[in-house]
Amino acid sequence: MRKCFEVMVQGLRLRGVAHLPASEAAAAAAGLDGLGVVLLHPGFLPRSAQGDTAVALSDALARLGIMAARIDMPGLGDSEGDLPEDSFTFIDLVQKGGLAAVANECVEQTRNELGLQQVVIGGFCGGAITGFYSLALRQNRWVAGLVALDPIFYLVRQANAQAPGTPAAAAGADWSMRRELLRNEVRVALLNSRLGRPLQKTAQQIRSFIKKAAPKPTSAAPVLPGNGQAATATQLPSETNFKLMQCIEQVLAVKLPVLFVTAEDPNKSAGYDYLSYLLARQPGRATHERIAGTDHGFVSGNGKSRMIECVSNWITRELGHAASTRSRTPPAP
Amino acid sequence: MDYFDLNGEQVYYALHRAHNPAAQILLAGHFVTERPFSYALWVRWARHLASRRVSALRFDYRGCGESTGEFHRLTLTSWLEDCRAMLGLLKAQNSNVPIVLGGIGMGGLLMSLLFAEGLGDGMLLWSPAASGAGALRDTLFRRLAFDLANPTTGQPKTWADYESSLQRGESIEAAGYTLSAALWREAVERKLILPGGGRDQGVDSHGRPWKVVKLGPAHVPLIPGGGLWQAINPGLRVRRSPLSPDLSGFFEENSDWILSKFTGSNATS
Repeated sequence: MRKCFEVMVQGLRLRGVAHLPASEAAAAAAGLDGLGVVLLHPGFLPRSAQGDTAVALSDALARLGIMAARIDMPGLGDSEGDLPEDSFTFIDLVQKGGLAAVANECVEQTRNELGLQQVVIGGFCGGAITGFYSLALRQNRWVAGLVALDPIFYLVRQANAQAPGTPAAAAGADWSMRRELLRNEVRVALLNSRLGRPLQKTAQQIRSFIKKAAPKPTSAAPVLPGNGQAATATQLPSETNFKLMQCIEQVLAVKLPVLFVTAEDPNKSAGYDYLSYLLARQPGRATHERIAGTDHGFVSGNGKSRMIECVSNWITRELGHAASTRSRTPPAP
Repeated sequence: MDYFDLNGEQVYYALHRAHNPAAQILLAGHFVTERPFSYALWVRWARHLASRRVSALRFDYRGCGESTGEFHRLTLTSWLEDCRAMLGLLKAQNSNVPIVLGGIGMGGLLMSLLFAEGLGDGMLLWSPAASGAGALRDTLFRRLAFDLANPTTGQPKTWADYESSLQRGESIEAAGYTLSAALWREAVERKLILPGGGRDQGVDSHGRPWKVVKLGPAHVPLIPGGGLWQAINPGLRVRRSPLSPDLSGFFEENSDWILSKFTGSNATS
C-alpha cells in the first residue's frame, strides 16, 4: 500500500510517496518498530530511480515492516522548483552539497508527517552525497543510519574535462548529440535488419580481439598507483571531491552506522578506490557491500535484487534486535 | 497527486487543474526505461498546459514508476485499461469540456488505439511508437548493449537471439524489468493507428482534430531513446546531457494548437 505525501520546504511543495508497512508486527518482532527509511534523489532522476529500483527497495522494506518514503528534491520529479538546463550543472550543485539544507528540512518534515521515531537516510548516487552533506550539517539524534548506494567520490565535471576526446567530453556540443541520436537510429535499424546477426557477430569478434590484446582490468582490486593507500588527502587524485571526502569522514567519525553499496560494472574500468582510502582512515561503523556484474543504477544483471538484499539485511542486522547490544542512537557529533 | 484503485492495484496520477479550462488532456507517457529521463519535461508540459487553460492528467501505468503492480504480469492490454480508467477520471472532472488524447512514445501508440475506438475529442501525439515492439526495443537494446560489452557474460546474445527467446515463451531481464513473452507477443501485434492511414489531414472522418509531432534532437531528453546514452556508451559513468532544456516555445506551439481547435468548442466524447 502506498500513499502520496507533500512537505513544504523553503516555500516549495516537495512531493513523495510512502510505502506503508504490510505488518507492523513484523517490524516489532525484528526490533525495527518506529524506524523508517527516507530515500533521497537518485542523481537527477525522479524518486523512482532508473529501473524503478528505489520503488522495489521501498516495497521490500515495507514487507519487512519498515515504512519507506521516497521524495523528490526541488525541481526533480513532481516537486516544485527549477532545474538547470544540463545535467552537469545539477551534478555540480549536488557535489558541492547544495541540497544539504533542503534535504535536512525535508527529512525532518517527512519524519513528522509519517510519524517516524527514527530514520535511516538513504540515497542513490547524488542522494547519498546529499545525505552525507546533510548529516555533516546537522545530525539529529533520531537519525539511525545512512545507506549510500554507489556514491561518486570524484568531481564529475572535472573528471570528464580531463579526458578530452571521450564521448562524454564532447557530448556538450549539439552536433555530438545529433551524431549519437543518428548512431542510435542506425544501430536499431541495422539490428532489426537481416544484417543484424552477422554484424553483431563481427562486432563481438572485434571486441573480444581487443579485449584479449588489452590488459585485463580487475575491478575488485584495481591496480593504480597508491590506490586506496594514499597516506594523506594531498595524495588523492586531483579530481577528488575533497569536500565530500572530508564530510564522509566526519560522519564516520561519530560512529553512525553507514552502509556503502557499490556497483562493479564490468564494462567500466575501475577508478581510484576512494572507499578503501576512507575506510582505512576512518572505519567507524561502516559496512561495504560490493555487487559485481551490474551498473551504476543497479539495473543490469542481478544488481536490483542483490542491492535490495544488501540493504534489507544490513538494516535488520545493524538496527534490529541483532544490534540491541549497541546503542541505536548515535552519539551527537 | 493521488492514487486511483484499479483491479486491486493503485494507479498513480497527477491532475494539473486549469482555471476555467477550455480543454482537458490525458497524457500517456513513455515506456518504463524512458520514463525517468523524460519525467521532468513531461511534468513541465503538464504545468504549462494548466497555465494555458488546459487541465492535464498524467499517470503511471500499472507496474511502472509510482503505480503498484507486478511489471512482468502486465501487458499493453493492461496499460490500455489504465488509459481508459484515467480517461473516465478526467471526464468526471468536467464532462462538458472536450478531452484531447495526448501521448509520447508508447503512450502515443496507446492513445492512437483509443482514438481509433472513437474516444476523445482530439489527439496530439509526440513521436508515437510505430508498434508496441518498437517501444520495447529500446529496453531490450539496453540489455543487448550491456551484454555486448560485458566480459563476464561469455558469448552475448544477438538481437535475433533475444527475439527468438521471447517468441519461445521465455522472459528477458532488461534494464531492471522482466519482459515477459506475453508482453512481447502483444507488443508485436499492437500497431499505431492513425486516421486515414496516417495522412495528416488535420481531422478524422468524424471531424476530430489530430496531429502527430516528430521530436528531434532539440527535445532530448523528451525524445524516445533520449535516455539511451549510458547504454550505448558502456565505458561511461556519467555524461553531460540536457536535463531540462527550455522548451517553452515548443510547448506554446502545441498548447496553441489545442486551444485553436477547442476554444469555444462544445464537443464532447
